[in-house]
Amino acid sequence: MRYMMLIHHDEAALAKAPPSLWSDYAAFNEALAKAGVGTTGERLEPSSAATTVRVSAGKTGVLDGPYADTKEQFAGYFMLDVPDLDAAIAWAARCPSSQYGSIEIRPLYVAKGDWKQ
Amino acid sequence: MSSDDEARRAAERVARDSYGRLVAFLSARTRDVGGAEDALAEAFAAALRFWPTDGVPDNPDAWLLTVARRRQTDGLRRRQTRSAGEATVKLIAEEIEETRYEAGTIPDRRLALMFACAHPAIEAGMRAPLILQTILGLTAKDIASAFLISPATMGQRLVRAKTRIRDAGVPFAIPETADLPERLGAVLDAVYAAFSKGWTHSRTPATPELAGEAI
Repeated sequence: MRYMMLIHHDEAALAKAPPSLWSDYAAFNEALAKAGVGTTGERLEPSSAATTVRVSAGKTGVLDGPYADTKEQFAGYFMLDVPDLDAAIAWAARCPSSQYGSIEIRPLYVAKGDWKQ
Repeated sequence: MSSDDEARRAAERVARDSYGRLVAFLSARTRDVGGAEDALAEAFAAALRFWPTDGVPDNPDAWLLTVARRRQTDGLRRRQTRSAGEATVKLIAEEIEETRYEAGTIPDRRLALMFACAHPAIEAGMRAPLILQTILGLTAKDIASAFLISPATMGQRLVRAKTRIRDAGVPFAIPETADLPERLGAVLDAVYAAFSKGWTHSRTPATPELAGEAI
């Protein structure tokens, strides 16, 4: 199954992270590539660089800042192709970001045809 | 005894003895518990239609399994994209072949199904009800009365939990050794909850044995 791991960082906690975080990340990326499960992934600039756009009654509103002013901010994602949810959970737990916030695992949408929901 | 009675009794016996085993086997590949239950219900309906005239087959379990598989295959063909559908149909065809070779020995996947129902990704309060329904075949109404929830609400929550098993990709498997203690705890909690709700008397002897197998 294909999943997206959505990484949400506590930006304050991340700012205090030791430099070893980045070598941990390099090891994680390598492990993903070696296992052949990680396809793509991107890291985002912090939420201070975010701009939010909303169109209401035909009028475009532009705001500086992220969609929601919460402690944890969307920081990047990884695409995974793994057999099931347990495999995705194992990769999320290994991801260094899981120590600086939370990781949401979402299956990619699959067209359901005549499904009830 | 008329053949009608005989057929109905045979169907009831299979429903009582093999329901969970058949649901577990039918849903193991597709992870679609709701779909497996629907397919099995249609197979039981077909049994009540055909067995009175054609006689009860030598291996009623295998007969029901084949009919239910065919329903599932039809369903998959209708709702999936062409390539995904072909892959699934191929898998199912292989599985039917396997079953024919060993008539009478349908692999027991109930423990795997219980671990799926008691997965941490499933709302804790719904794990025991899910096991009661999928393994023992209890109706939403029966389960609702035991858990003091309205039948309609219980029905909706069961459907939602099954959809979640399918869409989130909850595995039908006995977990790795490292995860086993925690996951087994969830299964046992659900089983104890099931027992404590007063279902001890009803056809549950297989469940503690199954849980025991995991240790």
